[in-house]
Amino acid sequence: MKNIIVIVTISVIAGSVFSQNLGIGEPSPGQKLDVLGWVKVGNENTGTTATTGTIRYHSSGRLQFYNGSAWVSLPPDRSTTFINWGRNDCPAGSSLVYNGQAASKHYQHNGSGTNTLCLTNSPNWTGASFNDASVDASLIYGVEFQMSGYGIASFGNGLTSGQLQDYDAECAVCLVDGASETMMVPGTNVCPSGWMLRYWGYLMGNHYTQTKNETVCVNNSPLQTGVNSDCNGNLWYPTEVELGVLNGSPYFQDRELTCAVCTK
Amino acid sequence: MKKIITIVIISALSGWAFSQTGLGVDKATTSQKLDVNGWLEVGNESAPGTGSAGTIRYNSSVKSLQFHNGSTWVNVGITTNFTNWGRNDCPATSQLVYTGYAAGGNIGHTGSGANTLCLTNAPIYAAFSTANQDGNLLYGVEMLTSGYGLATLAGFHGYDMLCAVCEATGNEALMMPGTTNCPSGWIRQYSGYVMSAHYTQRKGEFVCVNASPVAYGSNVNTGGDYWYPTETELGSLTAPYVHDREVTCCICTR
Repeated sequence: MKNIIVIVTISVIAGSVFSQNLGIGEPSPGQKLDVLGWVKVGNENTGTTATTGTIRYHSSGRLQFYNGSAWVSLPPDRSTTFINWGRNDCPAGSSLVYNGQAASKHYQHNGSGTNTLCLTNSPNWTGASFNDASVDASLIYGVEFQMSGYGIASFGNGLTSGQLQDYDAECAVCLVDGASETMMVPGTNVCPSGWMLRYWGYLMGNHYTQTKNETVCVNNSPLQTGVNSDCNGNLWYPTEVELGVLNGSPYFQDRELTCAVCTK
Repeated sequence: MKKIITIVIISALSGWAFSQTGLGVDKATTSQKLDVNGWLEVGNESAPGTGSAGTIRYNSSVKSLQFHNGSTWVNVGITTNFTNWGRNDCPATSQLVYTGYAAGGNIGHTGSGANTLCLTNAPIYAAFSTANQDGNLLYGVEMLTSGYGLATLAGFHGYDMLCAVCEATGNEALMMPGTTNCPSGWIRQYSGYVMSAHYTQRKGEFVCVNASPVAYGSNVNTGGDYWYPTETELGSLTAPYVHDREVTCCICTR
């Protein structure tokens, strides 16, 4: 017992390097430090600099480890993302990851991808290969609003369908802390109980006579800050319900569909 | 002093064993076997070691604390997943869930699914018939990369596309098109190129293919689904994009 006290004292004064395995209550240590029992770490951090792999108990009631740049809490903080289609900013309560231009295949092309990308406004080709000659294989185009005469007279921010016509659609990827799931609910502008509404809007996609793409939820206050080019790359139209296989009430033939983006 | 020397020799022979109530580090009275009045640092070594149940380590590759449950290392906290298109392994910052083959519709067909699957290479069937009914059909994917703008991928032309589903610590995995850099605070899992079907062929899906794919199978075009690098077409898309330049991408986790 006396021996041990001496060693601990030396450790505190100058630090000790144990190159062997150290067992605490464990006669045959299988790791560098092998504790036959529980381990308690402290909350004390005065004057101490954390290094990668450091573990502490934080007064917030959580164990934390340091990953080299930040303390990560256990259980970790939750977060989720969603895309705010039609705007370059994020709703209150969420923060911007990046913004960009909505992009997909050409409205007349049979090929390329049917999904819609939010192409960053800060592109780079660091370390990448490219050739600016046209080889015309998989092609991606910006998306334009095709709103005039398609059923939505005006939007939440006062823009009329005519004012928005032919403008390029923007997009923003938004981060929500404290939630772990994102869900788009088509057909309503409210979220189920327990979910928080991030934005609501209208379902939009290509014209039914064009080639197939993806139906997305576009913010009900779309921005008119993209370029008004009328280049007809990919085109967004409001989406009407067609009854038949879809049953009647509560849906109405030819009515434009709303949508809600919800997090929980 | 003499006593200390004696102990160090014992240590060298058989390791330390404290069988007393507990070891306090900068602490006179202990309440656990090991009681640290401050923080505790565990190793940064990520090489696979022999862990037994209850072992704790810090894995610097996946940037996570891990514990061993007796059979495997488990990341603490939340995990997310992404698909590493073009490879059958995972970046060092993640762990393999399963490997497979990229699969989609046929270039000559107008129907079938437009999306892309990472078909496991360990299939299990339920009800089936070996006869040909020709309903919805699924094909393997080939990279068509020679003469399509990416000199570094030209040698992969015609090879089959592999995939791996990978698990990383964090809440989410984001595919960021147009850049090889992830936003601040996000970990880049891999960067590559947005690829999809030829604009005159079938409807496909824009996916992010690893810039360093694996050449698998034969480089003979056998039909099925073909993926090409994607060029931006300016007009509705505007600067800073460049007309006809191939689009980069990266997979970011947080």
